Amino acid sequence: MYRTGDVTAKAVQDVTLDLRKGETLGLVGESGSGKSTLGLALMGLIQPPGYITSGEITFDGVDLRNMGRDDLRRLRGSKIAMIFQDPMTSLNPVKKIGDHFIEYIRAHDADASEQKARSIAEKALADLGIPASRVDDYPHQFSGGMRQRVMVGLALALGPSLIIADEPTTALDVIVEAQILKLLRDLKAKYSLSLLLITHNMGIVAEMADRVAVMYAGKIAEVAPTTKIFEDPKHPYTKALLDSIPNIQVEDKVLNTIPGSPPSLTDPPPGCPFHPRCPYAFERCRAEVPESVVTGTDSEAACFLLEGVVARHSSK
Amino acid sequence: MIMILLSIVFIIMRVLPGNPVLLRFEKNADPALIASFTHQLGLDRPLYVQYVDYLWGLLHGNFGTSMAGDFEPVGPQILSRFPATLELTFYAFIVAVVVGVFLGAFGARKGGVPDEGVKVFGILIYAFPVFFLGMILQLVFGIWIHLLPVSGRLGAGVMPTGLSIDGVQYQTGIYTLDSLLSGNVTEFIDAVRHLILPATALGLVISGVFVRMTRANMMETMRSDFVTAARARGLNEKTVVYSYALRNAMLPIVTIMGLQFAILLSGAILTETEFSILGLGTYLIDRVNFRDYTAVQGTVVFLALLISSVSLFVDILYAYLDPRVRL
Amino acid sequence: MKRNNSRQQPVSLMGTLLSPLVGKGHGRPLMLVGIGITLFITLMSITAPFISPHDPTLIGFGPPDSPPTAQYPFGTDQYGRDLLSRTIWGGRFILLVAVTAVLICMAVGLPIGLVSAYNGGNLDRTVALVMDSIYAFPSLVLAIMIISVFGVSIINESLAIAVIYIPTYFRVVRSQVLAIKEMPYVDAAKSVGASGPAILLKYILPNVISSIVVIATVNFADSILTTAGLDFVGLGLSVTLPDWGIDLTYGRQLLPTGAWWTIFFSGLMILLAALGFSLISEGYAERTNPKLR
Repeated sequence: MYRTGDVTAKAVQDVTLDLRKGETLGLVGESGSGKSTLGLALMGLIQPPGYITSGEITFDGVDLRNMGRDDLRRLRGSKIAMIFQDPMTSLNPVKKIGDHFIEYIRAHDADASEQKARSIAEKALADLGIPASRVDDYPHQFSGGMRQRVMVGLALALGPSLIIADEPTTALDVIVEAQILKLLRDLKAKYSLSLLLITHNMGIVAEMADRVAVMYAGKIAEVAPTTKIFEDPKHPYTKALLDSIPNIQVEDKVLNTIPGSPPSLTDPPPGCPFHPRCPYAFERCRAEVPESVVTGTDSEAACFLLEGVVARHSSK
Repeated sequence: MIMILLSIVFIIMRVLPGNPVLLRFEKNADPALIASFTHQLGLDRPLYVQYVDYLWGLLHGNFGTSMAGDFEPVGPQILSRFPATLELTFYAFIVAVVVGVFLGAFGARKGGVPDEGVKVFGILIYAFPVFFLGMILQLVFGIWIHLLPVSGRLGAGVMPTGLSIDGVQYQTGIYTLDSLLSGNVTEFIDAVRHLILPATALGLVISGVFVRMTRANMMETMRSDFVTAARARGLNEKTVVYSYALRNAMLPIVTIMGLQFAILLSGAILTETEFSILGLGTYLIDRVNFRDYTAVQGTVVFLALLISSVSLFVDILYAYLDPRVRL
Repeated sequence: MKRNNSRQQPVSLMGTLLSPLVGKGHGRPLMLVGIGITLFITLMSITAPFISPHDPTLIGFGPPDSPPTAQYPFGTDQYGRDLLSRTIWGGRFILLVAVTAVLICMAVGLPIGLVSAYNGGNLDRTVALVMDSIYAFPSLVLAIMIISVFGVSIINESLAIAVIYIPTYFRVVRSQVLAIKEMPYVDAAKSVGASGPAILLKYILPNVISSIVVIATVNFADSILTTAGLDFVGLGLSVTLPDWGIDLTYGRQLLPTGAWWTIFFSGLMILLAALGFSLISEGYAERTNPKLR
């Protein structure tokens, strides 16, 4: 929840997600759907005026919400790491790239000598395809793509098991984007990582994710394995999202868009958050909030339309 | 830009009033006396000659000739009074920056009521007339509680000393420095005690600007991506606040330090008057009261040059601090 | 017609000016307190002849060096003058100079800034250079310099202070004009034949107004402090007339005896006057610039 002045915006509500070891989970949604907030919340990085009201965040069997501040801090960067959207502003402009690494390494291992930290830094840069000689350069001397690679390198330097990538390629051009995505894939395989990939780009999701979770207005609309979600989306919102992607092969004269705009997070409408824009909405949608319904293996969606389907399935 | 400043001073002091000698004397003074004065000071030459002479003289450190009886050169007089002002301004500046930055950062981090308090403090302290604040400090700490001296730079009986080389004493005129160089602890303590009240008064008032700027910059910087990214890497809060947020928030503040120095000088004039410190400020006022216009001109020019140098220094300092500018 | 960012569309002048006064949110209490203080002081100064209990210049009126009593609530100075009366009267010169200075500044700085920036070119750059040079100069020194040569009077003091602050107006106005000048709707206006002055008045001026308010109020506060400062060092108007700055000079002489009342009230008044305007400025700025939240 974010509170500014005397107005409260519920950024994320009633979200239950699990991320399996070694998988890439794509978290998709429009701007304002709450996906970035979710990512930050997972690491305990929600700052005032935001705060977490309730819930559990379980990592490796431990509830992060019960952890002390110091323990949580040690966790960040070493077990869970995050990559941010804008490489221009994610690095400290007055620190050398090498110093970013060194400081970070020594924050987690007080005994590490400067030499040792420096060599880890140089190796990390090498892994990323950046010449080690650039360790003493400043962020503004790198291109956007290289900076993002540095971010990836920083995230991996201490061998975390989970990486949260918040729109890692949105600020980059398509060619660099492909490089970064390939880098992520390679490193994920090499180090057996789990990846939470937050994005609004369905194309990236199709390419990278094992499972996809779709968010809308702070709630989870649908979760399913990637192929299933693209072939047979269950939630009206997912369907509309996929429909709106222009397809070169089909001759569409008009772009399909979703009419209306995302709901206000301070004053959400009652019932299902999507109902004002949903072509299939009926009376119940306006009154009640749909619960998530299992629609297959590893799949679920929150829509009243599906309850009939499930009922039919289970009555078989 | 220095040229423009110097020219402006010249225009105001020489061109506009015509012959400053006339202003100095009463209306019914002896014309012969006026003529001889004017001639002695070279004020009867054509203006452009005077202008060139003025600039040329400055290049050689000649700040003019005093209009007071003896026609002494102004330069040495300025130099004898300058150290006091320099010392006061220096310590006041330190007070201003320390108080300003820490309060500003504190407010930005805490938020809520303490933050509002810091904000109001910033506005309030800057609106304070520095001489009034000085008086209050004098009253409280000097008179009601006999803790600190209220005027001058050294107590009675304490002599300024300097660095001795081969038996010759070299003094900078900056008592805190000289006493350290000569190892005279009594003098040092005395000088410091005399500096506490005026430097605090002046420093506090100037800190207002730093408080507000630091606070605003910090609030913005704390929200920036690289700060969140640093936290995400598990760096401890202290590092994040100082090494990441504050370090970057301070950069724009350095750029205004040259300007703040000018404001400091203005305040120093008032502070010197209040605390009876014999510095350039009191010298300036003194010369104005004596209608010694050439001396006034010389002093103002000196200050202009001083400010230009400080601005230049600040620019260089900024380039050192911000790697983006260097290359 | 495309919808522009509404902040930069031509809007009514008075609307832009007064809108921060209404509505909830940050900065409003600051502003209102500031307005309150300012009004109080202004009223006090204007009605001085009517509300002052005694003649402030009468020497020997009361017992000299007397601390506050029922009869003389603010005490008396070393000449036996009633300090309450002197305090009530003391702001007039300072306020008058401040008002005059600000008016001169606006009358000179605004047009020069608008025209110079709008026309651009080498002339603009030269003027900007001159302005920057003055801007960097210590205000009090400049004022002292001017006053020393021209003598002391309300006009001279106002002019001296105005000269100091004109560059500030100039710079702010200029930077805004330079930004707005390139906006598409200005081109649109030109294409239908709007003349330079018309564009300036209708489009650019309203956007510049809120900045001007902030600067003017800060200008006021600074003028008050500078004038009081000049009075304090003896370069003020008259040594006998009641004035907060001069009272501080007198009061100072009694300080070693611990006579706090001689300086306290005058100094407090200067502080309040400057504070009032500063608060208005800060509050207004906060309302019109969301980043400062």
